[in-house]
Amino acid sequence: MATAERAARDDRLVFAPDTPATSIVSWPLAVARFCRRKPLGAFGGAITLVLIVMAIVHPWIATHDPNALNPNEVLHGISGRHYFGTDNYGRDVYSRVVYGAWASLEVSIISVAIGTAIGTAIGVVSGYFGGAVDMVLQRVVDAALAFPGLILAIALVGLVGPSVKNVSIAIGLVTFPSLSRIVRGPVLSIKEQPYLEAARSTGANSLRIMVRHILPNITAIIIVVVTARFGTAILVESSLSFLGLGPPPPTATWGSMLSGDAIYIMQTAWWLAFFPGAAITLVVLGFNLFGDALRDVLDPRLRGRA
Amino acid sequence: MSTYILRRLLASIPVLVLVTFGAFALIRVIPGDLAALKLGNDATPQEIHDYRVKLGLTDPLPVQYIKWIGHALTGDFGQSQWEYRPVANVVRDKFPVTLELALLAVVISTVFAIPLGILSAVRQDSLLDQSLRFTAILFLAIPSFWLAILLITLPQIWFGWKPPLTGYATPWHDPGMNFRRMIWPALVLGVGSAAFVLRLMRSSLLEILRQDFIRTAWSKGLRERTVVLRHGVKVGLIPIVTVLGLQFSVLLGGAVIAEQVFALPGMGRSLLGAVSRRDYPLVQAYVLIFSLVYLLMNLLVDLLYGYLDPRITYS
Amino acid sequence: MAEDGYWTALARRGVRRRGFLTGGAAALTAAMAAAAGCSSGNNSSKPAATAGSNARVAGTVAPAPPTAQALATADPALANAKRGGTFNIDQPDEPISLDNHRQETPGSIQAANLVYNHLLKRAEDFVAAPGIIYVSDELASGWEQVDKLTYRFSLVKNAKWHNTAPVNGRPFTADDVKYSIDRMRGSDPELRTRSAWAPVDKVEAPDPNTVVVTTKQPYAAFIAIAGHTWSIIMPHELADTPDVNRKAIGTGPFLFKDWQSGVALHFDRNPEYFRSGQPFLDHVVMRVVPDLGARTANFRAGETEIWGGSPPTIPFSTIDEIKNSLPDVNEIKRTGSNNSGTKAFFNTTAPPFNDKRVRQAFLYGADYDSMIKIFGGLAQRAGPMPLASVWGLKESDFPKTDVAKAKALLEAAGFTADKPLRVKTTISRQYSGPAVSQILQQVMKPVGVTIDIDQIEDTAWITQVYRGGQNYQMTSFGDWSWEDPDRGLYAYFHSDGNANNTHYTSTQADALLEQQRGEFDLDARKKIVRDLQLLLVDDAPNVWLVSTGTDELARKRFRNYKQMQMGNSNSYREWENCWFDPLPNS
Repeated sequence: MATAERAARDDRLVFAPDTPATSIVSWPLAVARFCRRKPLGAFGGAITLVLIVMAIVHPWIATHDPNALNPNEVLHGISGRHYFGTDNYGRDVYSRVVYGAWASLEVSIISVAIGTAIGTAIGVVSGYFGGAVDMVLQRVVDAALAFPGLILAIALVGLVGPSVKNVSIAIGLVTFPSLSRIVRGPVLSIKEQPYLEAARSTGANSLRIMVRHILPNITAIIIVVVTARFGTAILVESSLSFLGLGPPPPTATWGSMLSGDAIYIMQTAWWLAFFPGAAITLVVLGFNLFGDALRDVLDPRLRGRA
Repeated sequence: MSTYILRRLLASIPVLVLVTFGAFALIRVIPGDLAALKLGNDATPQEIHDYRVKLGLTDPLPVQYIKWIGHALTGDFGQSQWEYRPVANVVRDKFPVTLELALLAVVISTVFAIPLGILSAVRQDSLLDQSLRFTAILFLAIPSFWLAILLITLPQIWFGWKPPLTGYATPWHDPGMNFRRMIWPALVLGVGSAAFVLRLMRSSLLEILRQDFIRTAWSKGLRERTVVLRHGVKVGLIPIVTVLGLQFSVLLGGAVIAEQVFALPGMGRSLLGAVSRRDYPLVQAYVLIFSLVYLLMNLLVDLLYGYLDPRITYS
Repeated sequence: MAEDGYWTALARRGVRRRGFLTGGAAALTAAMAAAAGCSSGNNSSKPAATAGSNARVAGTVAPAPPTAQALATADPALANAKRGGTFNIDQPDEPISLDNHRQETPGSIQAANLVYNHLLKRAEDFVAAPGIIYVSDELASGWEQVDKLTYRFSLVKNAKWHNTAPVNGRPFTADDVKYSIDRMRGSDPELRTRSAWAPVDKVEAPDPNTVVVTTKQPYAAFIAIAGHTWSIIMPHELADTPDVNRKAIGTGPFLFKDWQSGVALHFDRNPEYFRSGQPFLDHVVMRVVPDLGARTANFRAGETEIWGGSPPTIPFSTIDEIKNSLPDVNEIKRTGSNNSGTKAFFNTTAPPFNDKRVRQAFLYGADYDSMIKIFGGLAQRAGPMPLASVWGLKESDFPKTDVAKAKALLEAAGFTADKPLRVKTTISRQYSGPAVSQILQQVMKPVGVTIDIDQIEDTAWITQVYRGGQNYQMTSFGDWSWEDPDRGLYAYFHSDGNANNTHYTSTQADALLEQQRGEFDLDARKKIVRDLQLLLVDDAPNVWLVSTGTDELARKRFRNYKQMQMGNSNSYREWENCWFDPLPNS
């Protein structure tokens, strides 16, 4: 009994259901309510914000040139000069972590943008038109899902070279299919709505309908999924770097810092492995917490799907 | 039911063709001439060209593809260019390793995540629930290779123990050794998956418990356990089953990291090397396997769906 | 005498191998070789390139008196050797094929060289002449140069092939040598040995224990070739079949037992090895472990006997840390003086590096001292031939760093402060050593040069840059020279050379290269090679940077393990001379 009551209580939303996020009138109020109701989510949001800010101002908060090799300061520990110590080439770990924030942000933004754009487009078109279009597109999505992401990543890196940009594109291409699936569902039900029928009968063209009527209604889902994806993108990039497929050495990404040969020096130089790993974990945690809370608040019906 | 299966299988064929042809073309497009790589500096351009002819690389792409399909249908997948033995033998050695790894990871994931997820849902907002949720979300954020490296390094420093990192035996040849080798990488892989499934189980069950048919069960005066387990979980498992199916494919692909760090002779590691060295026949066979597994998994999952949710029927 | 060019060979053939700066451990594990201290009852081991140390007149047959280097004294330590034990070695690169005539990646060489012998092999006399590689006997118990074109090898009499089908333990004869040499200079395009053995005209086996080889022209590098790592002697019953890739049947110290793909290769002691009493080890297990952390963990746990790498990839402090945490290891350091090391190479046919002054700007501008410092105390200056080898230049032969001069050269070439030089270096993660590019980036800044790093996929790099591509400006590469200047320099710098990836042409260099090829007199040849190297350094199609060293840990129990001063020169390690001290309580 208690379980059901608690479940019912959770249903109280910050926003009314089915209201597109774009129609909220008072953002500061909404944010305050959000923080009060979902403290973990707010915490996640705060971390995310810190990352974004850190990434943007990275040239100013770094203490050293992240690529400056310095043989006199190899593997120094934490100090006033080197907040996070130095690595086996004498580079300042703190500065590299800070620059890495920017690289991670770049990777997540580009890959999520690509994945979202393609995924939404396919999902909406597929769901809206139905029939043959839907079938063909879904087969393509199936093929994309069945295609091992690793091969695509290696092939892309082989074709155009490893770089932050190319890695992001690869990640985006690997992640778009599932978003299109997620998006397609709601589109299928939305398109049956009577007012859309009316719009169609008055001769409004499909593109207009898709953009003006369907898209706003799936924005909530997209926001939720996308927020979680940022974290995934960072994780995937770090895995690719570990396998040697990531952005090349001058670029300091957290993943490539963890894949350096020296990270197993745990006893004496623990800071080499700790800070980049902690950074990744913290940031992904932040995105996930924030994304979770956002989802609870925007549409708890998505709990099973996003 | 059987027509449904047949239809699904038929629908898979165009997907298979799309994927395998895609990989076929992609790997030939990236720069790096297999023939020149194999022959070395002393070879003359004529010899390199002749070698390419011998490997069938001078035919137009669709022709090469058709030939490959033709051979594949008779079970001939060609020779691995860098292992100097039939592709089928290479796959026979490596695929079971990754398969076992992924299966173990899924089992670990299920064994931990489902009961804990149910517990978490039933004791919603309790301390147990909060800590489980936080732990889950934490493990989702940890990069798996980092976890793997921590596992092989820290315990050795702290108490002189490390997981075994060499040697391999199949489960029927030496089950003890096999288990000792596979359990640690499976744990590393399974932990991330477990976190995901736990959260899903929790939210799925919570959702179910709100529904009318549960209210009916309460009002009948049934015990909590009966309600939750018999009625709630069975339906709540539906999204889990879907996810596990997808997870399996994901794990199959993600196993490469565990294979690298733990030195397992699996498909992931082999695929990485094969693409890097342009071992076309081997890559094609692996891509075929990946997609077959994925499609079969999907089918299996949908069939399981039908069993779990009485409202769903297949015609 | 000579540095081995096995790494070069690898890279030239474009086979996968670890850049020795990043894949320190790989380079290292590939680098190990114990000394050839033992003689097989015969003391006339001769140094390689001193084939003509006493200039031979056609027709004289008397062998040259052995020099101090040539006297390979039997290692007295071997008298105390004990039988038994299993030697485990962790290898990041799995062998590709056990047929070294066709595949010579580090893994392939190491595995095959346990099973196969050569006519001659590289050796190092650690006492009399450390760092100098010469050639000593293996299946050839003696050799002499009959005239400028002819060599006669006397073969050991008691060698037998391993008792495995289809060879079944039959005796080793001169026909086997003839077969192997003919195979190496044959027409199979997959061979890596053809250009090296091409100058051979014919091979004859007048009796079962004698082989006579005749070259078409005077070929001073011949003996070095005969002693090279991939010049293994193979049985035709196996080598003519496709099984040769995954199976090995040789005359060597260890029998090939099993290859568990992706896991390990197993070798057993050969009880009928022609060096009786050897090998001492009962088993060798070559395990495939790609991850450096895993190899480290295995070493710490006592599973393997040898571990290490190149600083700063594996920093000294790590090595110290591990050394201090284990009671039973020795540390072995090897300086970088004996390999040709890292170099930047330029595409001399395209701007800006078609202008010699720009190349020389790098030569004068690079801060070598700072580079050496970054690589820790074991690194040294590098040159076309290794500095410590008989052929090497001296440090004083190289121009000193002179930033002002570099700037002046750039200005003369048209690059001023307003129009500074900006170049792109196209590198590969595996072969170029990322640290090198970054170091270059850093040291060239004061000269006013901006270097953009463009890292492309490894295999793409081999095809587009290393194998003589045209679409690159510069790149860097960790390379080893061969033991003989002919192999080390001809292919790279002769206008017809098949590894001339810089597209360098110089009639002067061509003349010198052709001249050294047929010059047997050591001093005369040294002079030619010296002039050639000075020319190359000045023309700067490559700018030779530094050669790193390695720092290794080895278990004290594992006796007689010597890391050859020439480092990577022999990637077949001479495990036949090593043994385990028995455990205290056994």
